Amino acid sequence: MTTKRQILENLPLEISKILENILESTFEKMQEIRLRMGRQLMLCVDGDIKTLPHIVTREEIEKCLQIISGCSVYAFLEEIKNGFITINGGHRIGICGRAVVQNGVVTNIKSISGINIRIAHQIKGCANKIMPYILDKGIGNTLIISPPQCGKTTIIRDVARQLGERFKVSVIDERGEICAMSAGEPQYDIGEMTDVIDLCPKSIGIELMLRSMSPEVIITDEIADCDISSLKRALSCGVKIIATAHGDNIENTLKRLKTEDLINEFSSVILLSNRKGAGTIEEVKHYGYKTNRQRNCSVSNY
Amino acid sequence: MVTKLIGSAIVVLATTKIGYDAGSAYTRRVQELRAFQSGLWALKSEITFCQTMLAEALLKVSTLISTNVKAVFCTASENLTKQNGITAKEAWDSALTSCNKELSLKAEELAILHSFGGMLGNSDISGQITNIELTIENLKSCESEAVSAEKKSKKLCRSLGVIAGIFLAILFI
Repeated sequence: MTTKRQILENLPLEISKILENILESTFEKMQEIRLRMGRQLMLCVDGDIKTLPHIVTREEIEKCLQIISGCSVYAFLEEIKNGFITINGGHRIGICGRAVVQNGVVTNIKSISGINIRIAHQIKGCANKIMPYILDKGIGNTLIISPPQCGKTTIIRDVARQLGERFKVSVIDERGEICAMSAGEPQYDIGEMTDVIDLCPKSIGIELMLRSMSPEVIITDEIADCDISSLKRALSCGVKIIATAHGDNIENTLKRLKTEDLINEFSSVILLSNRKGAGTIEEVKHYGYKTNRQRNCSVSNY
Repeated sequence: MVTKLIGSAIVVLATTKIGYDAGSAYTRRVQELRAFQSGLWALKSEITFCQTMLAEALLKVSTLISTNVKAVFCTASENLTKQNGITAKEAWDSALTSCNKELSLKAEELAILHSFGGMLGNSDISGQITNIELTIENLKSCESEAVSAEKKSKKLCRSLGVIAGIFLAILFI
């Protein structure tokens, strides 16, 4: 199924009719579709924001949430609490509204006011410029850092594909975005030797894959400080880690993630931006055995 | 004379059949109300314990029911699976409307079922349970009313059918 079909069948008829006329090729370049109650329908295509002359209504937002959850909102409460649902094709639907907080924990999001459909793409070869850092002297533990919308997930998907052709790779796909598994089958090319555990918390998924799939490399997306102990455990087992994290500065992100006693295990930490298009390499720092060779890289993009 | 006798017999048989059909509509109504209740109990279990997706849950429930009510759950599930951009309410309402002719339910009972569709699938588990239990409660009170109507009217309809046939036959002869 094409990206356009995957997206349109998850939208209310009123909105899918409007987007029906948009070309397939434009959908391939589209990054986001935003529905904000009482405001214009907005698209983000190739980095440019375009507004369409349609005011999104409360009914459309509510309908959209029902459709993306397969009319089974009760089955997606965990995802809604986390603020997103991943649909067929690995596209992430972000949700915002009024949070219901009990004992300091978000238990639900009600009065949904906005929906952001983040369209996933596979760009084969987009990790080519990063691969030399990962494969320098065998596989090196690598952390890819960038703000949202800079291509982290697209790049890590391609890293999984390229490494999966040569090594036993396990992907911990907590949000179901990297591999977009559907009935046990990945919707993207992720390599012949790549195993996936999806929709599973990273800390549990890493343990499970270590025990069951004997991976050489573990790939995971958007790590947080709560995942660091699981990463340490994997590293202590001799498994290599390729991970991504949100951030716009290497030092600050490493501090936030509390990686002080882990950082020497990483051979490369790569900072991306979208300054010259998504996936622009801004900076690469080498830690651990390469500390003395720490260097900054010239800007390039995929 | 023989023709008159044959004609009279046909009239008696026809009116008796009409009377029995009218009487059995009362029985069907009770059976359907009970079938909807057991279907909703099964749906509650699917949602509560398995968090099954609605289309699949409705299909599973339809396999547990044997009356005309089966078609409502089955059609609603098909609507959800085959039509893009459809909400649970739309799928349920359209299933009820398309199966309406086959059902012996009264307008107020159909209204209860339509209002059940309004909340279907669009809230958390406790919301779904409340909606299902409320609907079952309402259907139960309709059921007791339907049972007493059945007791009163079933025999009456049947007897009326036979008596009307005999009366017409006497008139013909």
